[in-house]
Amino acid sequence: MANMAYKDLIRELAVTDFKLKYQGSVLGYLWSFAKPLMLFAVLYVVFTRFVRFGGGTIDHYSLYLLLGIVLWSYFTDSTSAAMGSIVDRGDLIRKVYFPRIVIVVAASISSLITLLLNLVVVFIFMLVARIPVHWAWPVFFLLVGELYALSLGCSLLLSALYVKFRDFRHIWEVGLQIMFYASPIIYPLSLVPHSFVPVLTLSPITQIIQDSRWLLITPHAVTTSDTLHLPWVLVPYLLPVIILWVGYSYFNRAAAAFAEEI
Amino acid sequence: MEEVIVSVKDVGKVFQIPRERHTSLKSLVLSGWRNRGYRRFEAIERVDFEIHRGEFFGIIGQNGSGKSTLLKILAGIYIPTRGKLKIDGRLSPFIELGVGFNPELTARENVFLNGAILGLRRTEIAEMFDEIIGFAELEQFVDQKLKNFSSGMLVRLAFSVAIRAQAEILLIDEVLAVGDANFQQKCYDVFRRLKAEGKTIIFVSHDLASIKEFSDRVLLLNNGKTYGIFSAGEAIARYSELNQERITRELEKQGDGLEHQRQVEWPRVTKVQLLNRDGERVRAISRDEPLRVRLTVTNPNEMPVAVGVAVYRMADNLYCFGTNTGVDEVALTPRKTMTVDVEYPKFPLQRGTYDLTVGVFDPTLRETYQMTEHVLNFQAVQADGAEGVTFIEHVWQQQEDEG
Repeated sequence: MANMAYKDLIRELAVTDFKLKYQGSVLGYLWSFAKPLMLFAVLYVVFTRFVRFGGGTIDHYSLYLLLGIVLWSYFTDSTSAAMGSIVDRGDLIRKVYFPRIVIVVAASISSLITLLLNLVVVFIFMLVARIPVHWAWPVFFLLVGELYALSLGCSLLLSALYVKFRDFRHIWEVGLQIMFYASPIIYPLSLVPHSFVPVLTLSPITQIIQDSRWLLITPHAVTTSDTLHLPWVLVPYLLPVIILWVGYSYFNRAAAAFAEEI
Repeated sequence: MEEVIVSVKDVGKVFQIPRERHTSLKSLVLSGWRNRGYRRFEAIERVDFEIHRGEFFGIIGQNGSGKSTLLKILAGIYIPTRGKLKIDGRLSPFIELGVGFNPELTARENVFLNGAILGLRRTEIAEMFDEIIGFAELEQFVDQKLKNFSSGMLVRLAFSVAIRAQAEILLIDEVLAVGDANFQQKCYDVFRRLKAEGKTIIFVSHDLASIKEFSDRVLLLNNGKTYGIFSAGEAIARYSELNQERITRELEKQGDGLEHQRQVEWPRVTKVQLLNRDGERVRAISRDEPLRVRLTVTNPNEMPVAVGVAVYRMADNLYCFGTNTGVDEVALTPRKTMTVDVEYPKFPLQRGTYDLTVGVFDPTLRETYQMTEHVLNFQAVQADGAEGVTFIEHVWQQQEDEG
C-alpha cells in the first residue's frame, strides 16, 4: 500500500515540475513542440543549404540530426535537472520523511514527458518526409528505455554527490561537453578516422543514437554492431545497467544523511 | 492495558558540522582531503521515554533543548546516532504544516501535491477534497493561486490537509500559534476529536496553555536530556524554574561582559519575576487579574537609575506596551541591590504568548546601561472568544426601537 502512495507522490511531483516549467509563458506547453520544430528548421537550412556533412551519403540528413539532438538533449536536460533536485527540495527533505529516491525519479519522469512530446514532432516529420513505416519501429521504445535507465543512473549518482560537493555542477557541464563532441551527434561516424570508430561506439550514448537512427531514419546509419564484435559489442548495452545499479546503491547509502547535509 | 506504541531508548544524535576551511593551503595538503575537520554537536545526548496508545504526549523545552531534533528522529527524517527507537504503527511523516506548498499552483493543485507528500493516495484525496476545502473555509478560492493567499488562509489549508494524514500517531509541532482565534478553536476541536478517536498525538509547543489543556503527560527536555516526564501542571512548573535559572545566568553573563569592557560596574537587572496577587511566581496570566513584574537590580556604585519593562507578542514581535520609571516620573533610591516592582491592576492582553524586555537607564533616559530583550515569556489565557491584541472594556446595549 505504501508503495502505491509513493507512486502517486512521484506522479504529483513530476507533473508539478512539468507544469511549473511552462508557468507564465504565453505558449505554455506548446513550447514542448515549438522548440524541436524550430531546431529542425535551423538544421534543415544549415545542413542542406550551407554545409553538407552527410549530404550525399545519408538520406534525410536533417531528420537524422534532429533525432540525435532530441535524444542527446534529453540526456543533458534530465541529468542536469535531476542533479540539483535533492538540494532544491531541501525544505521537503528536512521536514517530511519519504524515500528520497522519489524526488529524483519524479525529476527524470518530468524530463521524459518533454522527450516524448519532442518525439511526437520527430515522428510527424518522419511521416512528412515519407519514410516508410516499418513493423520494427516499436523496438525504438526499448532504446528509449535504455536511455532512461542510463540517465536515471547518472542522475541518482550526481544528485547524491551534489549534496556533498557542489563542484559537480561544473564537472558535469564539462563532462557533457566532452561527451557531446565524442559522440556522433552533429557529425556522421563516416567522417571519423576508422581507427577511432570502435572506441567511440563503446559509449551507450553513441549506441542508442545510432541504433535509433538506423531503426527509424536510414539503414545507412553505422551502428555498434557494425563496428564492434563480441564481447565488446555488449559493453554499451551493459553500461546503463551497471551505472543504474551503482547510482542506485550509492544514492541509497547517502540518502539517510541528506536531511542533515543540505 | 497500557500498550506501548512508541519506545525511545537511550537515543542520541550527534551532528558533524564541517568547520570553515580557514587553514592554510599547506595544512590542507598535509591533512588531506578526508580530514577536513568537523565540530561535533550533540543535539540530543540521552533521551528515554515511552508513549502509550491513545495518549496525548506533550514535549516542551527551551530553544536548543533538542525538541526539533527529537521530533525529526521520530518522523524518520534523521537517523539517530545511537539508541533504539521502536514505533508500532503508522506515524505521520511530517513535522511542519504546508510542506511543499507551491505559490505558483492553485489551492486545488496544492492539496493534491501536499496530500501526496503526506503519503495519501490520489483517490483518497479526491474523496476528501470537499471536506478539506470546507474545513479550511476556502470554497471560493479553490482555483486561485496560493501566492494570492493570506498567511491565515495558508495555515488553514495546511492544517486541513495535515489532519487527513492516515496515521495512528500524529506529530504536531507548533501550529496553534498562528491563525485567528476562530480557527484556533476549530483546531482545538480537532484535537479533542482525535483524542476521542484514540489516536496517539505527540505535541511539541511553546504554547503552555494548550500543552496544559490537552497533554496527559509531558516530556521536559533540558540541554538534550530527559529532564523528566511529568503531569502537565508539574512539567510547566519545572519548565518555569529552568527558565528562571537561565534568565539569571544570562543576565549575570551579560553584566560580566559589560564590566570587562568598561572596567566600571554598571547597574543591571539580575532577576526578573512574574508574580500574581499572592506573590507566587506564574507563567500564565489572565487579563482580569493583577500582575506584578519584579526586577532585581544590582547597582554596586549606587548610581541613580531608571528601570523599564516592555511587553512584546512573540508570534510577530509586536510591541504591545512599555514604560519606565523615567517617563512615569518615579524616583528610585539608589542602593547596591534594588528590588523594583511594577504592578498592573489588570493586564488586558488577549490569548497568546508574550515576552518581556527589561532595561536600566540613567534617570534622564539619555544613556542605556543595560537592555535585555525577551528575558521571560509567558502565556495570556482567556475564557472568552474576544479577539485582537488587547481587551477593551465594553458594554452592549440594545436601544428601544419603534415598531
